[in-house]
Amino acid sequence: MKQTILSLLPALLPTLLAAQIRVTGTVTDANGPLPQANVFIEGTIDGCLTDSLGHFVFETQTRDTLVLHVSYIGYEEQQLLLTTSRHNDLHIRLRTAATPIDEVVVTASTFSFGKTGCMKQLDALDVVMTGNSCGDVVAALQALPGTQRVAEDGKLYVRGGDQSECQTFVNGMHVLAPYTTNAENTAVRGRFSPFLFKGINFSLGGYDGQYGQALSSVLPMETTDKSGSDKLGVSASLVDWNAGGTKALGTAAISFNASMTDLTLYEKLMPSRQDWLLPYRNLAAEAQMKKEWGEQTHWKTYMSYDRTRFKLRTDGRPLSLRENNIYVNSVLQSSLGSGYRLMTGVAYSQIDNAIDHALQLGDSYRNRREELHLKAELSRVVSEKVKVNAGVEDYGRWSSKDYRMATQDSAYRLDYHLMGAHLDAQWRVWRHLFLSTSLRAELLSTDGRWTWMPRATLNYLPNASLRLSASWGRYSQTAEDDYLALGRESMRQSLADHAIVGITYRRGGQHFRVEPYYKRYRRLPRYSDGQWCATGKGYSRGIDFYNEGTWLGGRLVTTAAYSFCDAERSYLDYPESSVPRYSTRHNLNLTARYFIAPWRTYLGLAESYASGRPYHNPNKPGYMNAHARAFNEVSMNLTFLVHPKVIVYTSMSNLLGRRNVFGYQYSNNGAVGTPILPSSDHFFYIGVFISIKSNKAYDIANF
Amino acid sequence: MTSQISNRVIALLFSALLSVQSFMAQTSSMEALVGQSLSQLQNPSAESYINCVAQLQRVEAMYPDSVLPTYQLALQSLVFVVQYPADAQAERMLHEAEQRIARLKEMQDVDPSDLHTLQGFYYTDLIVRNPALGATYYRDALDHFDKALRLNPDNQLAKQLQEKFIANMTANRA
Repeated sequence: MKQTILSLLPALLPTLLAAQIRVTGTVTDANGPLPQANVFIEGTIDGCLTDSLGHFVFETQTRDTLVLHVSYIGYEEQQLLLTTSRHNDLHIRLRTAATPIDEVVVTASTFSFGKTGCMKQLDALDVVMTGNSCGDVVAALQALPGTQRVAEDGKLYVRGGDQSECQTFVNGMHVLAPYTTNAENTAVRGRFSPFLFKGINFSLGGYDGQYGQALSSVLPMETTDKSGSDKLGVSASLVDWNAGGTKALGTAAISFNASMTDLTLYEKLMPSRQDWLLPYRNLAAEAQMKKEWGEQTHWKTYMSYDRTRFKLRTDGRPLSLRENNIYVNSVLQSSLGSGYRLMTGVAYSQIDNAIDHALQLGDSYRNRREELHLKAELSRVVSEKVKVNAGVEDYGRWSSKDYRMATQDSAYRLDYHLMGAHLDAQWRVWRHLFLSTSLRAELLSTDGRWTWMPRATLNYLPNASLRLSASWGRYSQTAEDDYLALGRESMRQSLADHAIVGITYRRGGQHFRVEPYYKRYRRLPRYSDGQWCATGKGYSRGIDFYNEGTWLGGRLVTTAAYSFCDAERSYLDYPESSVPRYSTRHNLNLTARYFIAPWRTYLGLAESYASGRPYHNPNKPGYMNAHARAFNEVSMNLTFLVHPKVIVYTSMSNLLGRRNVFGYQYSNNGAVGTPILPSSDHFFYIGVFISIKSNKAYDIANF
Repeated sequence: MTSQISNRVIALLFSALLSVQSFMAQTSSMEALVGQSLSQLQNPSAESYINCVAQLQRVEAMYPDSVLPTYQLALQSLVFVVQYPADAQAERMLHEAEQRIARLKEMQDVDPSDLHTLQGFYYTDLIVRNPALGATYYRDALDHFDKALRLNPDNQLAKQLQEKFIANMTANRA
């Protein structure tokens, strides 16, 4: 029995020896005392929170080993072994936590909207309430630095790049025609409603190897997840009518949307400069299917079709346009376990364009473009320090064009493939220093040559507020079909090298960003010595400033974006190297959005300024030798949250009625210069959005 | 000899009993510790919530693989924010909740209905903290409550939070 008691003694010893000790000390960080840090003995609940001076005092029972644990959110936890002689006046200094590799977006030059993990920053309503965007994603993005306002076509021009250099991706898959079609000197709109998306990333350069075929920028957008409930909604305005809904089916959901846009009524109320014979009409239908298998596997398929038609009298001829556009996109994303994530997708785009009397009376223009994009991506967070991502993709493109006129015809057929593969790795080099390296290779079937593109980005994140980044990368893009058809195998892929450094500071309600950049272009399409070849070149350099501020307890949100851009190119039919006709040296965008709580109304104001656009005056020496007057526009919008199921939205562009001129077009003999003007000086929009069946408030998304 | 063997058997059985008791006690003592932490909220104040959350963090450190302390930690942090949205600690509590929700998503035995309830509650807190951005988050909050109730129609917390959310929405409209 004595032996029994002896064998139990080690188990009972700690209790027998237990005695109270007092643990005291101070917790600090780099800035001084840290209040509210949690200080406790591991394996027990003995402990306390530090006071306003970082001090802590508590008592605990002594044991063989006493490990003091100190934690505070955003800081690295610390453990300290206590001894009988070492438990008083302890000084513990916490270091800010290193950001986990899977939470770091190692992408300089990116603006993100939508959800980041559990957090949401901006969403579709923010897009709608930006300046005079009228719910157009593309117009809303033009309030950001680095974009240039080319109001006569409304497309995205980024840091001295042409509009074709910005590519749109939906759920990682390419969209061949992201804009609607419209008449000359009338701003087009993005083809997709902002309410389709839960996240929008806009990268102005320096993007990783996943994205190809974009010389200047990429706009990846991610559609919303499966809705848990049924929805039905309608909307109506002076120009468009919509109806759509979602049927939730357990782990799946089916959505549809149909819209009709017709400018007939609007043109009667507010006539534009266009001489419409049949005002702009667009009929669009969209459908989406989503299915979830547990939390790990998601499938999304999105389909859209739209048909555009208009007729107008221009230069004495009745120009008539018909366009049909189809886009289908299907993506499967799945977690395979062990940190692997697989994404596979397929996207098909088809655009048919038919224009009669396009350039002269009696001519006929027919153009069909198709693209099949296949893609597979495999990613894995290997460790806390390394994340890798590899992918392969194929772009199959088919294009045909027939232009017939009385004196001569021209036509081409184009059929080519572009294969791409990339390997990206992100490394945590040091606690707050991240390196992203990637290599992308592309094989273009028309010239049978590989293009290799290394890219690297270094991000330093010393704390949660500050980010310093530097990136360099090479980017490629095939020439537009018209030039590729004319140049064939001599028309190699165009290249652009991006060098960007950036500082981002975000604290409280303030966000500052400064980014100087330099881009060098090579192998741009150029008409030289009677033939098209890839000998064009150019550069673009500048600096972007951005500030976003939240004031008055979140009721007022302001943004200020200024961009300086110095660009020059020798490409297309330019006789000499000169500033591209779309490029403006100084660009300023100011926006303010104020929530008037008693009226449940958002008031949005926007000011856009761009220095004069260059144009060619044949009466002066040189090329692109004159500048139009500066562009200036003040716009306003009001969003009334009338009822959780009813929203009324109204906006007015160019409140001050300024007559903006985008350049001059000269007659063949150079004697008469006609100003290039927008189709109308103002655009007024008023629309009402009604949710008929939805348990959600202020939800105008039917998807 | 017989006595020696029997003594050893008794000692062995006693040790085994202690091990089994300790294994069984682990679950019940964890629940007891969580209960002890929550008992601080009998007279709720901002300080008692902060202390409760701190104590739950200690319990969580003791039982890192158990769902209960992490779940309660997220829940009490969210309750703090909804009760004291203007408190200096509200932002930190929101981060605590966000981090715990992310951790719960990675855990094996989490009730998905409870997880969606917490996510709905998280978006509710965002709205409570900043009503001006309410229109942005309404959809997410209600979506998560919907999902929680679809997965478990008897989830009383989800039901109550959803009801309160809709009631407040209606009150704001009026």
